[in-house]
Amino acid sequence: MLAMVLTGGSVLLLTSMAFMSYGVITARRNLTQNLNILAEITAANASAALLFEEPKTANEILSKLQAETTVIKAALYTRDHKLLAHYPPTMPDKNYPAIETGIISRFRAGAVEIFYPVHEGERWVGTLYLQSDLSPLYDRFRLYIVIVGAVMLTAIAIILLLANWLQRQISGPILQLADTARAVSEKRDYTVRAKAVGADELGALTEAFNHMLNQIQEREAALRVSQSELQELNRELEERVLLRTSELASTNKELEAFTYSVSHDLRAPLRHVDAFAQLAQEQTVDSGSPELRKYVERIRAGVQNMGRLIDDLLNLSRVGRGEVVQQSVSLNALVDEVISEMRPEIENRNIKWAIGRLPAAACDPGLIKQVFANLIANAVKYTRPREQAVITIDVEAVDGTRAIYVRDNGVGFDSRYKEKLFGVFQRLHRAEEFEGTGVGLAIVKRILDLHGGRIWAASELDKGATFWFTFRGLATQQSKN
Amino acid sequence: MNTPVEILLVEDNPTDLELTLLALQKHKLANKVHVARDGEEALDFLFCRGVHGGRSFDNPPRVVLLDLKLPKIDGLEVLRQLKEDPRTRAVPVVIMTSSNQQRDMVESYKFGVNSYIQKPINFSDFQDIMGQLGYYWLAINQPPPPAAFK
Repeated sequence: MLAMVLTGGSVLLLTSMAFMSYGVITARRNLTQNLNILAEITAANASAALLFEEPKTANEILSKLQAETTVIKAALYTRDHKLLAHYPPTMPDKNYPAIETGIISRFRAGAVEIFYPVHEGERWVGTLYLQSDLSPLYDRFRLYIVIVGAVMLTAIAIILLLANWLQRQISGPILQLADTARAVSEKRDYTVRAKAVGADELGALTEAFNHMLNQIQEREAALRVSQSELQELNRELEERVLLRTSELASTNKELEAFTYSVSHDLRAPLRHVDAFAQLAQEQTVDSGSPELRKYVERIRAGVQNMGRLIDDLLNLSRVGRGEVVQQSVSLNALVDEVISEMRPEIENRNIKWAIGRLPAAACDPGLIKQVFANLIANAVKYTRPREQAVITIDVEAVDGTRAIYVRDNGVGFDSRYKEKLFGVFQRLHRAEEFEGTGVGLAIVKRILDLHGGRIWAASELDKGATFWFTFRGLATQQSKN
Repeated sequence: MNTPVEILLVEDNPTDLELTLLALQKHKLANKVHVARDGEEALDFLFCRGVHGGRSFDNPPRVVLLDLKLPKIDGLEVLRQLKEDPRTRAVPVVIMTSSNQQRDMVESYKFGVNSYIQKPINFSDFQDIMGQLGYYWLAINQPPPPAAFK
């Protein structure tokens, strides 16, 4: 708005100044021209008086200048530069300038003066002097200033009104749009709308803006709905997880209590059965019934079997209930430990061990030692019929990863049933051939599951068996050899 | 009570009690046994209070054979109280239990048990163990001198 006023005002000012200059210049020219004409007329009238040097006539002629209100002074000079007559008559002679020859007109000290040569026919007879004041010029100048001032004031008033109106027409709606946009972004209130104005470009802009707000509002509403749905789902899910977790925890607790009580309470009666069976056996020595002795022996064998079963089951349930530690372990050291702990069982056996260089691995040493212990114990057990057992333990690449294998030349198993090998209580041999509870390989499998690994086997009846296993810490650990 | 008690047997199960005494008898140790049938009775005996108010701390048993699962106060609690009190701390305690649960072993040793034995299922093995146990604690082991109970 200020810009508009400044621009309009300065343009107007410059224009007015140009016009004023033009007016002043024109007025001065007119003034000189008029004075010239007056001088020409007066000279023509006064030529005779000058020729004959008649001051009375000359003064009369000059007094006629009274009609010209602007003329301040007038004088007639003879050829020999003497003052012949002057106007106004009361003014002393010394107030009139000395004669100057030729037509000279000039502005001097707030007045314009002219020297005009007077001719009678072809003959120069004297000089006329006229002085006119510049009050018409000043009047005109003053008038100009008044007009310019009035025009300027009016123009500025119009500019102000116009600017106001324009602002209401253009800036107003734009400012309103800006306010609306700010309100939307600050308060996140998508229900506000810009006020509709006219059908011009601004109206179209406002309409588009409101349309955009409509869409945002719809989307926002949809978003809220889906968000709350999501939250609801999340809440339900969390509730369900909590429920399941507590169910799981209580199941776990029950399971723990169960195994605890199994380990305490299931063994006690077995001990009692065995004890009394033995006491009965001691009696049969005296009474001498061989059949009774055998029965009692069977009872005791059954009790021992049951005891092993309970121990194995407890071991199986124990695997994975503790924390699985991860540390770098030499697998060769584990194998050596296992074999040396088996020494009493195998001292009467002819076993050829072929143990390769095994890598170090990241694993739980206790659990992986259990894996070796069970696999080696199986190899020892199922090579019992062989005159010389050969048990190989080594590492090889299988399917791009490393696998440890334990191979024997024992009785093997029917590979049709190899899926059953790792199930609990699954046995592929009859109890009277090879003792066992069918838990060992299940434990091995569970340990390898815990290590992110797997185990598999291949065999042919009577041609030995090979068990491979791999686990995450084995595949990633760099060989230290 | 002229003969000093040499073994305090804490056992609630009558069959187990009978079999343990049988096993001790086999090694001629049964006449030096005092039996407590629950944890409370064991603590009364050891701390000379209640029905055992007439006993003195000067005559502690040479060894306590302690079952873990006991009525009223369980074996671990008996062990804890025993090992906490300076008057009884030096009494050797052997836990005898059916289980070999990790948890029980850890707790027992933390409370300062002197030995932990899992009762084997085979009765002859159990008899052997009882014999060795009696022989070790009553014959081989030097009992704590009275100054150890201060």
